[in-house]
Amino acid sequence: MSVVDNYRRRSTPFSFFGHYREAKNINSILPNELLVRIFKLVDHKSDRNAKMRAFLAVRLTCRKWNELVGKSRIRIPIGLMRIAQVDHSYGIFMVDSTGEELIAELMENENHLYYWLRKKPHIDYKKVKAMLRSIEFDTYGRVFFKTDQLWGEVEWNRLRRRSYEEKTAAQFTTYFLYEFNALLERYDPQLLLLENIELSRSLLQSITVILERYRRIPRLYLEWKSVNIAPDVTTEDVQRLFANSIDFTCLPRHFATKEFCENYLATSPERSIKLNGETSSIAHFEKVAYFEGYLKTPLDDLCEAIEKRTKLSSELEWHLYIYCNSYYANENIREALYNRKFEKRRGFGTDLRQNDTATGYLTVSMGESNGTPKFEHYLAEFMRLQPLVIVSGRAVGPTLEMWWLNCGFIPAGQGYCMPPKDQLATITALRYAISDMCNEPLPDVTVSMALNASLRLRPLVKCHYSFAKTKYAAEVASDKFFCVGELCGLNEDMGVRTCVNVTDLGGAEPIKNLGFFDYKRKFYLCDKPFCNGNGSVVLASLNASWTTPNTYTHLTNPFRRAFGTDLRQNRAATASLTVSMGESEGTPIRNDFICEIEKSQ
Amino acid sequence: MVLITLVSSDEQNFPVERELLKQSGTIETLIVNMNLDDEDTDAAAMPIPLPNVKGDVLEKVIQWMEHHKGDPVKEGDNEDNNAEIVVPQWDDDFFKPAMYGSKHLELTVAASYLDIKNLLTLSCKAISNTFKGKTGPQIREEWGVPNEFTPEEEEAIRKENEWSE
Repeated sequence: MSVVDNYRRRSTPFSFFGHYREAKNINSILPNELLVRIFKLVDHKSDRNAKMRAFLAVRLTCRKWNELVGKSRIRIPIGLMRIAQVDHSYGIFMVDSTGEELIAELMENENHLYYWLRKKPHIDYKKVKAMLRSIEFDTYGRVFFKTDQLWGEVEWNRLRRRSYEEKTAAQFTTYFLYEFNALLERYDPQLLLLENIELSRSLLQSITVILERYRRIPRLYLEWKSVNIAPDVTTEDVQRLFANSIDFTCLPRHFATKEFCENYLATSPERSIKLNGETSSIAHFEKVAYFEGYLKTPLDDLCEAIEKRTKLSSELEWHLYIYCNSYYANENIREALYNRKFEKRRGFGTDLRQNDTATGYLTVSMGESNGTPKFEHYLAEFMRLQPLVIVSGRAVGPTLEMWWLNCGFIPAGQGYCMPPKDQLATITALRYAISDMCNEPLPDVTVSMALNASLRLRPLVKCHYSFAKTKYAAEVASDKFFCVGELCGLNEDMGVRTCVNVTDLGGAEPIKNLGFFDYKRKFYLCDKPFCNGNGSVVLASLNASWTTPNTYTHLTNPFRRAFGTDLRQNRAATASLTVSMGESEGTPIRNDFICEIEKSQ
Repeated sequence: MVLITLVSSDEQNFPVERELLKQSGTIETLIVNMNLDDEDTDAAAMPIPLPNVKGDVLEKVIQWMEHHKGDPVKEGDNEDNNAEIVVPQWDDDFFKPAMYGSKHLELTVAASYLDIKNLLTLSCKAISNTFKGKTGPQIREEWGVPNEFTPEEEEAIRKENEWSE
């Protein structure tokens, strides 16, 4: 090799190190501060799971690294940390991350380590520490604490009573603050949610001081409806608390003056960026709950209505969250739901029968692999999968943010889903946290009607259908279960409350409730408040907007979608369940209407 | 064009453009304090000794600075912010041949010593990226770290960090 060649070799970026690839002990070259710096960069914003695994690997490399990681206070990012007060009288607090999976999906849409932290407040600190060491994973990678000895309700009550006797409220508050501090030392929540708390001035100040010790959290949300702020708390106290949040924050209404919001948002570049709209996100959480989970809304219509309403069509993605809180939803259904992705805007309007070729991602398997599916058994289960939330996210930068929620059943093996209340609180918080509305009174998600009526925009939901679940249809007044019209107010526990006909002009007028009922596994349409208890169908005039043949199509589409599907394989339609719209006993009053329905099928 | 001579620990001379050296906090401070960029003084001809940086490493540092000439110089504290840091392709190619070797580590130490923040951040990030998806033993092997743990110690750490597996 000539001198010139040698020079050239040395001059190229790839040749220089070639002769020096001998591995040396990194510890003998890098000082501790550089090692810590490197450890802190073991991060991947979109993959917390990887980060956590990497941390363990780093700790397992050598004693020095284990020590450095321990001392360097590298905090593990988590999605939600929620602080709630279990019992106001005794000042018992609970810190958990309920809904972590929910928020993780919302914020990142990546595979995260779902992390389930649930601390029983009555356990003393030593026990808590012991509990922290006995965490296990569920099948989806989420973590929850094993609380075998405390899980049972009886045990819980017994211990709680004992705790009441032994501890005072002040002691519990002290415990809570200690725990909160310890948790923040270890975890780095993206959203801190305070709810259901009697917030005295001293408690608020203590929380503030603890937050100030740590890096600012991205989002802080005070669920003002459930947080009682003591009269002696000043605006300055609240502002100081919220100064610890670097992102958009909502305050209790009476503290959130326009001036405060403006000042707050103007105090850091990050906040101003939000105002510019460059990086902001808008998400609409529209709850579409159905009594007993019977969704019959034509989803194409739903999409279209929302699209028109928001007038943000090209910038929005729609996601349908299917909420499976049914005790009967079997594991396969939940698995299918868990893995589904509604990645295309119109996807969930798909006819399920053609799921192989359609753009939709609503892949629901009923789990029957052999033999004839037991539709009588499984249909009801299928229908109980509750569409809960329609979410839209505006595109941010070159990529679309994916906003969709997930079923919050936990743990996987125990066969139940998270109660609606738990998710609702989170959703409410999220709606504030990820919308750009500062303290605007967001509509109540539990009542779709309120949402629509308050916004005075185009109808959100064109129509709903519902079925009664009971086997004893004759004993059930069907008007409790069904409504028809442009928009219905819905309640998870009570079913349909009432319906309104929302006009194009935004006006709302009440319309008559209608009904469905179930009689011997055949479903009958009823448009009267009270259908005949013997199974005959009584049909009266449909006032609202259902006066054209098209309307009947709307009416029958859901039947085809739901019933015409081969629930075993989710492929070609086999229409295994016959839906009879006619009478089985008695005579329908309006045969013509029934015929129209049958024709359209 | 003002050239300033840097002298490595093995006494190699590297004449470098004055402009490039603004990326190095350490050298910039020295130049400003000693008026080394004033062509009218004798100081301008004075070489800057860098006793902690070997010639081959300094050459790579200069090469990196040449490529990043004109990049905004990071200011403020030394801590990297939380934003996700992505190692650009050129830098990745620059680091990769020496990754897991002593030269990359020496380059990182030199970046720290010379206070070249961007180089330091990228270099550290490149190292941290090598940890991804690796187990402790794999990292040990790649970075030449002897195994000090007893099985009991290892088990204790695993237990402590059970949630992260």
